[in-house]
Amino acid sequence: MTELLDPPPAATAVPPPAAGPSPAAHERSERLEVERLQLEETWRRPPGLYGWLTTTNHKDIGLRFIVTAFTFFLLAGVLALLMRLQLARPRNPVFGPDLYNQIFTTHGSAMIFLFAVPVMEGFGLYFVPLMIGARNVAFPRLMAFSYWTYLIAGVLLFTGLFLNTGPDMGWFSYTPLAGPGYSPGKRVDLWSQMVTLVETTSMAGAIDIIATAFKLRAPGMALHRVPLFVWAQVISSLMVLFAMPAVTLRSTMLSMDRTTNVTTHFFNAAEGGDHLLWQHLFWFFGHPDVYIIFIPATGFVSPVVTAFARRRVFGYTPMVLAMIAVAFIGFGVWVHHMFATPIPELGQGMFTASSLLITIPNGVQIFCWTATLWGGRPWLRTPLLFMLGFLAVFVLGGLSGVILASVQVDLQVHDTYFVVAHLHYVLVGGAVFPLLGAVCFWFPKWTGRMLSERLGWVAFWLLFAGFNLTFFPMHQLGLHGMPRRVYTYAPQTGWGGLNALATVGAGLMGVGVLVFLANVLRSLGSGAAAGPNPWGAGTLEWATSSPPPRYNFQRPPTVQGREPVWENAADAPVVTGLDARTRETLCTTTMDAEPHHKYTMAGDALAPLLTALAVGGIWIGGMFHPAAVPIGCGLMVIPLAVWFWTSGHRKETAGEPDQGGE
Amino acid sequence: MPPPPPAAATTLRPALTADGLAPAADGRNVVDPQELDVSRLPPNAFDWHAPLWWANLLTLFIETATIGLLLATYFYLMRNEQGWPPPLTNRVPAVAHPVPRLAVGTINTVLLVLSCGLMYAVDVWARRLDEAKLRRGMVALCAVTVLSIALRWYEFPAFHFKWNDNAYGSIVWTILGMHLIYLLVGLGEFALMTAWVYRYGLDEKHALDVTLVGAYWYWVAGAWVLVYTVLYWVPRWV
Ligand code: HEM
Ligand SMILES: [Cu+2]
Repeated sequence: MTELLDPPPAATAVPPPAAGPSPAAHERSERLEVERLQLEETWRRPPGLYGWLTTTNHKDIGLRFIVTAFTFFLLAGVLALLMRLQLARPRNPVFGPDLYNQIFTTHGSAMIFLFAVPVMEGFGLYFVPLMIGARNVAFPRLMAFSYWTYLIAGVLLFTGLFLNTGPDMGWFSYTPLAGPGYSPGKRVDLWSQMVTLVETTSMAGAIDIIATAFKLRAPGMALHRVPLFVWAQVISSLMVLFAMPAVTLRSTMLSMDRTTNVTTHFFNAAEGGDHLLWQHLFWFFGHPDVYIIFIPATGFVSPVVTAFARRRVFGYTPMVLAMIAVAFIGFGVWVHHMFATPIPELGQGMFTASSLLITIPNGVQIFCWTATLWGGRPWLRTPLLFMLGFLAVFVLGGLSGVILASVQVDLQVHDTYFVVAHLHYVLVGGAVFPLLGAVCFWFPKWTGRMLSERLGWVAFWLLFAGFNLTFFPMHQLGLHGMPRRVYTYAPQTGWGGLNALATVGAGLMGVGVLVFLANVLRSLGSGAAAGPNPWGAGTLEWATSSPPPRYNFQRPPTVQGREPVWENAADAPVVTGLDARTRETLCTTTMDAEPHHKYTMAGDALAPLLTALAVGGIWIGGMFHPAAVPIGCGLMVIPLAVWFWTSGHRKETAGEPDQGGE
Repeated sequence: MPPPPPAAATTLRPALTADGLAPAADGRNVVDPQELDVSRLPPNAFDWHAPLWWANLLTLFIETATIGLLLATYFYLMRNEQGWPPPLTNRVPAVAHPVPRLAVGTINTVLLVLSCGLMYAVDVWARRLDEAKLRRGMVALCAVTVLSIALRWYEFPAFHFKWNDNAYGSIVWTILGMHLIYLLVGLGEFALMTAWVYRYGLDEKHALDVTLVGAYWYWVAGAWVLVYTVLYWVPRWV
């Protein structure tokens, strides 16, 4: 089988002219049409609400993740504008301290937990199967469960804020402030349950993405031909598996410490507990989390740069190795968030060194992108524009990061606006710009319509200018000693001017986001038709129609190069012989992607939603009485057993969508 | 404003029409593809060829990280006490070094390690689709797990402290409880599969499930050996 998949000899590249329809060709196209109708029927989503609630198609769920995450981005963005409003001038009376505390904590928590991480997962769920030529993710129901749990977590956080129960202790929720002594009430509990739920989501999504990428790749897509986007998703998913347990664990510990009738003492210094334990556990997750956000974002940059430079990416192997290196080192730097605590000097030195070390692989990636653009024939469209914006902003954020890695400097600016500036340069630069570029790039694939270039450029420049205007002055403010997380400041401090500037910048950003949004909404209805591959890009998602059919490819492709759309021979083989009447797909070997066996994917089901509701109910119930958890878990056995039982039947009849299983 | 697309954008190779449906960007027909017929490939696979095997493995990554972090927490908290475990002062005479009682925990360890042998046999029978033996083996596994859970019940008091006495008690109970959850999950899976096999018989798909529970069970036993060593013996060594 494999000789079909070797790269084509150059001579075969020219397609012969199309002949007129012969009887044989006619018969074949009829057979194809029958197969297509069968696939449509097999993968159809039942109409109406029920179909909507039970769908397990990766494109439905992936887009839902993306839309939901952007909704939370907008909400958290409104909170950001409110903060800037309050800080615009000294002694501004818009908010009191209590509400301000809730607002910045909800802003930070929502941006990180509900926006940045899930939106990356959403892109992964949508595009990994398409880019590797699969029909769906390996575990469709797990994916649906992941989405519903995420939605519950998000609604929980914002409901809390509206009920004046928004968390108010900062997004990293340090004890003792977050402990039972200083934070009575439900605010902290709500936060920690939200975090546990949303990280459960991430872990479920990570398992799904890795298994899909390892087992369902198109024949021929050996490891050295896996798109960088997919590598990025796999690597960050692996990080999720090791980082997220730290969050769920410490959230659970905090909840147990806080719950009457349980009252453990993990973070109670009087009984042998330890506050720094919290900080270690938090940042053991927290720093890798930055890379869990950033590595998938680099996975957006690479395909966009490749497509618009119109050449293969420079340094594919170094890029992959750099991502792996970042993932490893990313677990060894967390203590730089704790330089202001009594850490042994040797430890400080080591963590400074590792924090500096991580800039090397990041630098390699930036170098490779630059070289790709340099050696190509760049075609500047909005997606590329956003990626260039990313490069500029991220390099600056990285610079202030290097500065902060020095213990002495960090002690000076710790907990000041310098850190706020740094973290926004890294997060907005490293995640939001690539993300918006990715939206511009793939919007045609989602909808079949193009975004407006003109509006795209306007949005970009508003965002870019607004961003720098907002956050650059914050470096200065930090050096002048303005602490973060203060709801106001005195006129004598002299901070008023720069703060006013930052507020103007934030307003510009807000307008930029609105223009971007208007562009999306306008193009949904009236954008120019896109066709399957408007950018002439090279990865497999561009080989199918826009939007893709529910089964992605009528006959799954094979792959003869890293950019199959560019490099496959004109007559490159397609996979045939899969049963169109069941959700059958092809499993290939993990390293070489040789065809191995057929695999039937699970169909649509209500069980994921019910299970998510049960999990959400248990965790929310646990806020009020600890008994909710054991009782709930006991009851959970029932839906899980039903899940197992119903997914076990392998139906022989044709056209029955609910079968196979996970 | 944006420059027009360079000529390259339109003269590149036409879009691959892998599904034979999407028309090439410029509407030209493309050559008929060769066909890679997979209809004769088997419908199931074991071990690392199966997607589910990976899901199982990745879940174990998560659980390994969890146990690792719990044990790290145990050692981290150790620094805060003069003695480990801290002295028992609520009784006369006070106990300066109340190490956990070994008996029940040790029995449970032996039981869990031995159960891996049984699990291995069941795994082999599943691969051979030997339904009769598998049924009996599964029932035995259920029984062993119930016994292990019952023993766990007596392990908690062996540590002298309650979860809300001090941080030592908190972490010990949490680790024991976490592992108890693993046992309960194992029991649930064993029970469901046993029921399935009694009701519908054994097919390849469920044979795969049994082998996966096997991997999980070896992990549960291995994690326990580690936990047992730390919880029962480290206090004796420090
Ligand atoms: C869209 C424009 C944004 C503006 C104007 C903005 C503004 C702010 C401001 C003023 C603070 C400081 C609050 C204080 O210390 O009193 C803050 C904190 C924070 N922001 Fe943003 N932000 C924006 C976007 C984002 C994004 C995209 C992310 C992450 C992906 C993010 C993550 C955070 C985090 C984690 C904090 C720390 C919260 C805390 O101290 O607990 N922000 N933001
Ligand atoms: Cu960090």
